[in-house]
Amino acid sequence: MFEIIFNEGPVDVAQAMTRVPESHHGAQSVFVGVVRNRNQGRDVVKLSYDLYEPLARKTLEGVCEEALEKWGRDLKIYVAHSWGELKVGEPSVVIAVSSPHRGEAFDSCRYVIEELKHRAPIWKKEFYVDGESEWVKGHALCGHHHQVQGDDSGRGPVSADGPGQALSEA
Amino acid sequence: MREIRIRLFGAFRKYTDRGEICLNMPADATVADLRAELARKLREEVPAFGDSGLIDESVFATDVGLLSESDLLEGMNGLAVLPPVCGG
Repeated sequence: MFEIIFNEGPVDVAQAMTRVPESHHGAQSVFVGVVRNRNQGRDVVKLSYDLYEPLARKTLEGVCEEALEKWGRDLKIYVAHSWGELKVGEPSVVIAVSSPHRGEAFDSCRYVIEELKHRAPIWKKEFYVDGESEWVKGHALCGHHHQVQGDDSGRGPVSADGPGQALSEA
Repeated sequence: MREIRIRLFGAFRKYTDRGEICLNMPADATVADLRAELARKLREEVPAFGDSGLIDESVFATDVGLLSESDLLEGMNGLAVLPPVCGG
C-alpha cells in the first residue's frame, strides 16, 4: 500500500517514518531531498515549487503501483512533496519505504524518487542572492507517455507511465 | 470554434500573471493545433516571449494523463501545458 501527500512548505520527515512500519517488516529506507544553497555556480536563497496536483497524484500512484509490482505488494510506501516556498536546508520531498528485507526497501525507495524526478508534474524556481530567479530546467515528459490500457483509438489521455531511467544525482 | 482553458505551470508562469490562458480552437482541432495556437497567442500577448523551445519541449495534459499530438480536442476543456519537470 502507499500514501501520497502534497503540502505547502517543508515536508514532515518524522511523520513519514511513522506511516510505514509494519511489525513483520525488517527494513525501512528513507530518502529526503533538501534545498541546497548552490546550483550550477549560483548561490540559492530559496526555492518555490509548483505542481499540478491531480496529475502529480495520479503519476505517483502509478509509480508506487509499479514499485509494488516490482518489489512485492507487501511494501508500504509514503511519498510527500512540497509546494510553495522553501528555504535552504528545508526538506522538499521524502520517500519512505518499509519492506520485509532491506534489498526491496533500498531499491524501491530509489526507484520512486528517480521516477518522481522524471515523471511527476512538479517544477521548481530558484531565487538567488543577487535578487534574480529562474525556473530550473528539467526532464521533458514528451518521451514518457504511451496509450492507456484498452484505449487504442488515439483519442483521449494517455498515462504518464514508463520505466524511466536511473539518474546520477548531482 | 470554442474556447479552451489551458492551465500554465512552471516557466510559463513568467509570461503571465494569470495561471491560465484561453484559446479559441476549431471543433476538429488536435493537440498539435493547440500547441501552434498557444505559441501564437503568447507572442501576441507577451511581445517579449521568444522561448519557443519551452513550448516545443512541453506536453499537454488533462488531470488524468498526458495527451498525444494527434489527440482531438473534442470534448476536452480544462487542459494544462507542462514544461520539462524537475520535482524532488
